[in-house]
Amino acid sequence: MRSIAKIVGFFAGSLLLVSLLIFSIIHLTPGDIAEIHNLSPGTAHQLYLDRPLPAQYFLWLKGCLGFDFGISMVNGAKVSSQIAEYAPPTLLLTFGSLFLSLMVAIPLGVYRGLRPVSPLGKFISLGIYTLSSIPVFVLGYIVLAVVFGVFRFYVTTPPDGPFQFWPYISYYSLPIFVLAVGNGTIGEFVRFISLEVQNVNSAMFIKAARARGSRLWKHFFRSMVLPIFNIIVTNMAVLLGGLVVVERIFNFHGLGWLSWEATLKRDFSVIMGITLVMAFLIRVFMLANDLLAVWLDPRMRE
Amino acid sequence: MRRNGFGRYLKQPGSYRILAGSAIVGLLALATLTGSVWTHYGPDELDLEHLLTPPSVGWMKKLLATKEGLRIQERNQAGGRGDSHPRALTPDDENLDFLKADPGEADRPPASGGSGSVLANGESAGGGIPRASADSGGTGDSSLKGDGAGAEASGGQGGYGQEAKHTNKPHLLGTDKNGRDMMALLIAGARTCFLPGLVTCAFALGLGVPLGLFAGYYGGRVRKIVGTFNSTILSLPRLVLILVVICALEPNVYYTMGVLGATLIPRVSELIATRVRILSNMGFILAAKEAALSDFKILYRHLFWYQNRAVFFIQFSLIMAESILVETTLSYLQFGTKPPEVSWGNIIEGSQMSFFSGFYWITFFPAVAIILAILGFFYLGDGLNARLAYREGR
Amino acid sequence: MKDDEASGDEASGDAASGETLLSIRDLCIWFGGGGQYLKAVNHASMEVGRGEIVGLIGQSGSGKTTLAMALLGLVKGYPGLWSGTATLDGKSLLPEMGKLILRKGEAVEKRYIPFQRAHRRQLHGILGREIATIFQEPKASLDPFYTVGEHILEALERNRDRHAAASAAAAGARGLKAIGIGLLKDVGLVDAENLWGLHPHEISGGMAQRVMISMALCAKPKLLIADEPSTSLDVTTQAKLLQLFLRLRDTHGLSIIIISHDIGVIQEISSRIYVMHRGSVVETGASARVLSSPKHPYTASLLDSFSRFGQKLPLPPPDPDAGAGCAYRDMCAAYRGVLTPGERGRCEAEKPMGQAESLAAAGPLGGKARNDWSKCHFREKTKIHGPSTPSTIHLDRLDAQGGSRGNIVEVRGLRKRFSQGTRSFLALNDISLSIPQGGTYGLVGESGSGKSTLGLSLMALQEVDGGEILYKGEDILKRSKAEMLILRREIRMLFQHPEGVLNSGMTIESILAEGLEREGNMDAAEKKRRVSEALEQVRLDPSHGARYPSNLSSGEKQRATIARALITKPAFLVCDEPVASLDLAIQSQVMSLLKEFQRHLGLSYLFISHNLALVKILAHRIGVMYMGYLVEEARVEHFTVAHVRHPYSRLLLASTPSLDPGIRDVLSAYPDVEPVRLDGGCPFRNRCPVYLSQGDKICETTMPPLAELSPGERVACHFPLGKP
Repeated sequence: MRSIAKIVGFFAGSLLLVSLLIFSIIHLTPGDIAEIHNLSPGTAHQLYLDRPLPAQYFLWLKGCLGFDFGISMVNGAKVSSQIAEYAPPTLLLTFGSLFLSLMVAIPLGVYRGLRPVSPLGKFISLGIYTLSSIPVFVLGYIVLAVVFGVFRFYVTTPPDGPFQFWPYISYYSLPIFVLAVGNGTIGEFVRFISLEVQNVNSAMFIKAARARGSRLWKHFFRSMVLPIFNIIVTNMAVLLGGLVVVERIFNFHGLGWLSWEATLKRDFSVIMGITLVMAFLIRVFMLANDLLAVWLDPRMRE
Repeated sequence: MRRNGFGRYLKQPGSYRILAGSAIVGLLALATLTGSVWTHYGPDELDLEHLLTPPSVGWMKKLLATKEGLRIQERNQAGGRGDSHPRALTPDDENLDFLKADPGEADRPPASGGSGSVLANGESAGGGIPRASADSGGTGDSSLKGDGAGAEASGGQGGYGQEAKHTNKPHLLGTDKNGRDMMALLIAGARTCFLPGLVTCAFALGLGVPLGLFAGYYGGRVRKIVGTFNSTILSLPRLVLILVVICALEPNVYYTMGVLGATLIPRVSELIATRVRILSNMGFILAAKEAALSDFKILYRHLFWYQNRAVFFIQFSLIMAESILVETTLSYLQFGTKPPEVSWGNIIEGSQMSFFSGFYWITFFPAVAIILAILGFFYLGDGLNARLAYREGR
Repeated sequence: MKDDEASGDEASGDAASGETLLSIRDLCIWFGGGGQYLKAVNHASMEVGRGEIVGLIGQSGSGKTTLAMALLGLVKGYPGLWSGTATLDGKSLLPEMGKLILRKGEAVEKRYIPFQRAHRRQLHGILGREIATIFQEPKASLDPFYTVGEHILEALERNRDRHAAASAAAAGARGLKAIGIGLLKDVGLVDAENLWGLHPHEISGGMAQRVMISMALCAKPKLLIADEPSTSLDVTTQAKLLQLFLRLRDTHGLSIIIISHDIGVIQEISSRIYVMHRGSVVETGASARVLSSPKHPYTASLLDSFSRFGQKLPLPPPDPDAGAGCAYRDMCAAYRGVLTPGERGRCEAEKPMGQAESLAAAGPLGGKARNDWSKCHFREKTKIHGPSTPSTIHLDRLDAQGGSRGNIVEVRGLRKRFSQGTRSFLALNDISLSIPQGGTYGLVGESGSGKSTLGLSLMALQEVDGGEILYKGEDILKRSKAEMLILRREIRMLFQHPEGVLNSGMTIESILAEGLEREGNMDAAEKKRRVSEALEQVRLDPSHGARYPSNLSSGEKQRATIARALITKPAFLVCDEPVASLDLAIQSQVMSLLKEFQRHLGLSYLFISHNLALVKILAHRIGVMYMGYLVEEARVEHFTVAHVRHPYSRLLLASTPSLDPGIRDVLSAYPDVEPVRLDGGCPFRNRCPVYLSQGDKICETTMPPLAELSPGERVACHFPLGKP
C-alpha cells in the first residue's frame, strides 16, 4: 500500500513539474505575448496576461485541472473544445499504430531472441536497423508514391457520419502504417523484445524448468509481460512526437496537426494545452506501468 | 599484443556494420569538404535556362521515373534546343498544370474501377495528390503558394540566389524548379546537417555524461534528483517539446538542436549511471577509493575514460543520426532551416508535388541522402555497440 | 561406436556395483560449428548404479558440468558434434547418431542437423521424470513470479500419475497441496505451510535448494543430478544439505550424481568418484580408495592442494593430448621417484590407454577396469602415486599472546547499524579486537555476519556509528582527509573479485603506477622500477605489466591485485575473501604468496573468509562473527571442534567439509533451522543445542558479554562448552 501511495504521489508531482516546465518555457522567454499577437486588453485579461507570473501559473494550472486551457490567441476559440475535437482521431491513430507495431514486433522479436544467429534472425536485425533510419516524412512519401502509383488515388478527407469500413480503412491505414513502421517504433520494439527474450531464455529458472520438463511458455509469458509494457510506455513519447509529422504529411486532422498549426501561428495557449494533454497521457501510461509492476512482480511489493 | 588480421577483425560482431557506417559517414564528410569538385554550380546559383532539368546521368533517368515523368522527359528531349540539355520547362507547358494553384481539377488520375466506386461518395476521392491543407488558410503551406513555379519562371528569383553566369555546364543530378543544381543543394544540405548535430551532441553528452557519472557514483539523493529530471523530460514527446520552444522563441536551428540535446540527456545519463552502478557492484569504486584516488580521478579517469569512453563514441554516433533525423524533419515542417538556406528537409518540403508527376529527382536524391546519412551514423554506432558488448563478454 | 544393447547387457552382467542405472560409454562432445570444433568431453565413460551416490570432481573447465548438462540438452549453445552412447535403464538418452567421420581423432564432417530436435524428443518423458536436476544457484532456479506452492503444484501436476493419492480423480488442488506440503516437510522444511505462499526472493538459498529438491521428488525420479548444489551456500547449510542427500538415497532409493570442485563435499557422501581433467576421466574408483591412495598424478595433486593448502604445487598440463607420452609426468611423483628408467621411457613415449580401450582390453565383462581405473601405465602398482602425507603447517607463529611486538591495529567498541526502509539491523555490535604486529587475525562467519563490513570499516571505506580504530595507536576515524590519504599507503586491501580492482581498460603497469601517485614526484624510470619490483614480488614477469587484465588468467589477475597493494609498501593488509573466486590449485599459490610476504616483509593481515580451512592456514588468532557480534576469539591451535567454547564455532567447524570423517556426529545435536536475526538476548539461541535443551531465560534476555576465559581466548556465551 505504501508503495502504491508513493507511485501515485510521484505521478502527481511529476505532472506538476511538467506543467511548470511548459509554463516557464513559454513565459520566461523574451518577447511579450500580448504584443506578439496584438491582443486587446480584454483578451489579455481573459488569458491572465495582466497578472504577475506566479499568479498566471496558478490560474492556468487551476484551469487545466478542470480541463480548461484558456482561449486561443489567434481566433479566440476555447482550446479545450479544439482539443476535444481533434483528439479522437489522434487517439485512434496512436493506438492503431501501437497495436500494429506490437503485432509485427512481438513475433519478430521473439524469433530473433530465440535464434539470434540464424540467417532469418540476422535478416530481421538488418531489416529493422534500416527501417529505423528512415525518417517518417521520407517514409510517408515513399508510401504515398507507392500507393498513388498503384491505385492512382488517395483519400485525404476524414470520413463523416456512421462507421463505414472502406472509408475508415482507407483514411486511417496509411497514417497508422507510417507511424508504426517509421519513427523507429517497430525497430525499437523488436530490438528490446528480442533482448528481453534472450535474457529470460538464459535465465537460470528457465533452465531449471527445462530440466523439470515443464512447459516453458508459462514462465516466459509471466516474465515478458512487464518488459513489453515497459517498452510501450517508453515509446509512447516517441509515438506522440511522430504524430506531428505523420499528420502533416497525410493532412490528417488530429492533435499533431493542430500543434503544428499552433506553432506556425504561435498560438501559445493551444500548444501549452496540447503538450500538457500529451504529457498527461504519457504519465498515465507510466503510472499504469508502475502499478502493473507492483501488482505482477512480488519483488516490487516491499 | 593481439594479432589483428583483417579476417579476424571481420569475425568480431558488428564489424560489417562499423565498416558500412564509417564508409557512408566518410563519404558524406568527403562530399562536404570537396563540394566544388562534384558540381560547377553553387547552391545559390540559379540556372534559369534549365529549370527542372532531369539528371544528366542516363541510367538515373529511367530509375524510379513514373510513366508521366518519362513522357515529359521524352517530350522535352524531343523538342530540346541543345544536345547537352533537355529543354528547360516553362510554365506554359501543359505538364506544369499540376503546379498551378487549382488542385481540384489538375490531372485527376482515373480511379480504378472497384475501389473507386467505394469512394465515390467522398468528394476528394480524386485530387490525386494529397492536397496540402487547403483549409488551413495557406498559413505556410508551401508548394502551392505564390512562390511556386509560375511565379518564378516569370522572372522572380524568390530570394534563392543570383542567376548563374555559366549555364552550359551539365547538371549531374538535375535542377529544381528554381534552377538550382541538385548536387550543389545536396552538398550544402550535408553541411547544414552536420553542424547542428554537433550542437546536439555537445548538449546531450556534455550534460548527460557527467549527470550519469554523478548519479552512479554518489547514488542516493544525487541519483534521485537526476532521476526526477530525467522522468520529467521523458514525459514530454520530443518533437512536441521542440515545437513549444519554437513557439516561444524565434525558429532557430541551434535552439531546437539544443532542446533536442536536452531531451537526449535522460538516455545518456541513465545508460552511464547503470554502467557505473554495475561497476560499483563489482567493487570498482571501493577499490579505487582504497587506492587513495581523488573523486575527480575516479570519475574522470576510471569511470569515464577507461570504462565509458566507448559508450561516449557510440552515443555520439547515434545522437548524430538522431539529430540529422530531427533537423531534416523540422526543416520539412518549416521550423528548421528556412529557405534560401538549404537543408535536405526543406528541399523535400519545397518539392512535395513534383514526386508524383515525374520530377522524381528533386525528392528522390535528398531522401536518399537523408536515409544514407542516418543509416551511416546508425550503423556505425550500433556496430560499435555490438563490438563493445562482445568485448565485455555480454 | 558401441551398440546399445551390448552395453546394456554388459551393464546388467556387472554384479560388483549392483544394477546399473546410467551408463555412459566413450562419450565425446564437441562444441562449435562450421568446421571449427572444440572438444569439451573427450572419450568419457561413466556408470551409476541404483541407489548409488557418485561424485564427479574436477577443477573449473574440466568438463564435469558439460558432460552431465549436455547429455540433458541443458547447455548454452548446443554441442555441434557427438559420439558415444548414454543409456538410462537401457533407454538411450541420445538419438540415433548419423555418420560421424573422424580423422586423426578429430571430427571433420557435420552430422545431420535435426539432431538437437531428435535429442529433445528422446529426452521427452525422461527430463524431470526419470532424471531430476538441481543447480548451483538455487534462488535463481526458481521463477521469481511464482510462489513456492505454485512451483510444487506445477511439478505435481505433471507427475500426477506417480502419486497414488493424486491420480485418483477426486484429488483436486487441495489434495495436491497436501502432497506438496508432505514433500516439503520430507526435505526438512518444517514450516512448509508458511513457505507455501512465499516468493523465491523471500526465502534463503538453503531453503530454495530444498524446494528444488522437493520439486525433483515430485516425479519420484530414478536419478538426481546435483550440479555444485551447495557451492553458493554457507557451510552449515551445506552440511545439512549433504545429510539430506544421504537420507534421500536411503529412503527413496535415489541415485545421485554430485558434481563438485570440492573434495570435502564429494567424499562426504559419494561412494564412487570420477575425477575429470580437461574433458576426460583420469581416474575412477571407490571414494575411500581414490582419496586415500590415488592412482593418477592429477588426483594426487588435487588431494594435495586440498590437504596441504598454502604450498607450492605443480600445475596440471593445459592440454593432456598434446605431445608424446603421458602429459602428466611432470607433476607425477612416481615418475620422478619410484619408477625404473625403463618404465619412465614408457611414460615418455606412450600415452596411457583411455577408458574405452582399457575396458575393451579387459575383456567382455570389463572387470575391474570399470570400477577401479586410472589413466596411467602403472595403475596396477599400488600406492605409487599416494598423496603426500599431510604436512603440519609450518608458520613462524607468534607467541601465545601474540602481543610481544604489540598490536598494529586495535578496534574498540565499533558499532554500525544498517537500515533498509523501516527495518534496521546491527551489522557491527560493539566489536573489539586487536591485530598483532606481523601476525594474522582470521575472521570467519556465515554470509551476513558483518565480517566484510568490519573489513571495510578498518579501511575507513565504510562509515561507522561509533567506536574507535587505532592504527599504531592513533585513531583512524579522527584523522583528517589528507592524513588519511597518506595512511592509505600503509593500509591496503585485497578484494574478492580482481575484475573490480583491475580496470579493464588500463594496463597492469598503469594500474600499479596509480598507487605511486601519492608519493610525490617520481620520475618515469623510478616508477618503472617500482612496478617491476612489485610484479616480481608476486612472481609475475615484468613483461606482464604491458598487458591488459583480460589477457591474464584468474590467478595472475589476483596476483596483480596483490602487487597493486604491495607497491606502496604497506604494513597492514585487509584481505576480504581474496581467493574465494579461484580454483583450488591457484588458491594454494596465492595463499603461499601471502604467507611468504608475512614472513619476509613483516605484513600484518586481517584475513576474512568463510572458508575455515583457509583461515587456519594463515591466521594466528581467529575471531568468529555471528549476526554482527564477535562471539568467540581463540588462538588457531585451539580452534578445533574439541577445543572451541562457543556452540556456533563448533557448528562451523563441524560443518566444514574435511577428509576427517566422524566429525559430523557433532552436527546431529544442532537443529535444522535457518539463521534469523533475533531481537534481544543471545543471537544464536534458536540454533543453539545448549539453549534448546536447557531453555535458560538468561539467553533470551541478555546478550552474553565477550568474556576472557583464558589468555587469548574470549567467548560470548552464558554456558560455554566445557574443555574436553
